[in-house]
Amino acid sequence: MTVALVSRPQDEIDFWEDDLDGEAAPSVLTTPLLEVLDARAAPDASDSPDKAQFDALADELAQAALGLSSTRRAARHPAYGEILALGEVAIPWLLGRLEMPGNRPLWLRLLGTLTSFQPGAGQQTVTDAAESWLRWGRSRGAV
Amino acid sequence: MSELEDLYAQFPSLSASRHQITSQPTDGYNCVAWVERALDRWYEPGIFWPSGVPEPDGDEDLECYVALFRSWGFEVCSTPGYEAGCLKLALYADGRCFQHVAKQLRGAAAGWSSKAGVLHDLRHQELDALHPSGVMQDARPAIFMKRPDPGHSMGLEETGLII
Repeated sequence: MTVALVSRPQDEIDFWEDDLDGEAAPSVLTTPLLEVLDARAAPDASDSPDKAQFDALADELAQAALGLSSTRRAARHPAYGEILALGEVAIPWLLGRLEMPGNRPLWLRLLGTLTSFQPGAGQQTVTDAAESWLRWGRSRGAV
Repeated sequence: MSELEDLYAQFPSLSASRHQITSQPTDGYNCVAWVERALDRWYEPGIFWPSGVPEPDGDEDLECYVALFRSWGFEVCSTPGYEAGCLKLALYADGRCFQHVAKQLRGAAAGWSSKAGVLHDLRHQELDALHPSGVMQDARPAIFMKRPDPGHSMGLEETGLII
């Protein structure tokens, strides 16, 4: 599976916002949305060098951030910026990290920084915010 | 590395200080939520932050946390020393950047209770037990706050048990 960035017409944006079942969503999308392409059309992104790089960076960052009560401070670690530099290709991989408890606030912050589309906005708990992101990701085949 | 080894690696001063682990690790709440025993919240701007409490423009967010604790009835005080009838907090910061908050236990020699990042709750005798830490080597107790002690049981903080 691979991902690509595409621009969306307003009717499709409305469709995705409707898919949130009333959860908070931005009124205007300022970044393109991810489109998951057919695996037959492109190499599997999970085997890409970027994925291996992401896994190494995410493991390093997660270990360094274990004692942080504020994920904002994780931005001081070099791996944080390197994950952001991978761009939106990292979104499905971050969603994958959200499936397991352990460092979910950190992955929520990175996801929220990588895209202005915020499926978890307005949720009260880490679990609810993670579930909102995962529902969004699953609905689009990104998880 | 086990989770306990992770804890001591993150807080290298802890092992030499009197302390007691009082919970399993969890990423479901942070030290800020632990102040109010909100065991399903991660209080942080951008993750979960109450409406009406200011959010930071940039990296410096200490005043926003002070405002949050004010909204919970705490006021800034000058020292961390125990005062009967008061519950005190110690806010750790690097400059104007918030890092951690510990809450004082009841009694002059009782010490403090903290939730350490996504790791454990722990009881620690000294505030310096959590300094330095991980990527925040320069964060120290910088601001102290207090409010009247509501008087509820602190068994969860003292032993990890609801008593």
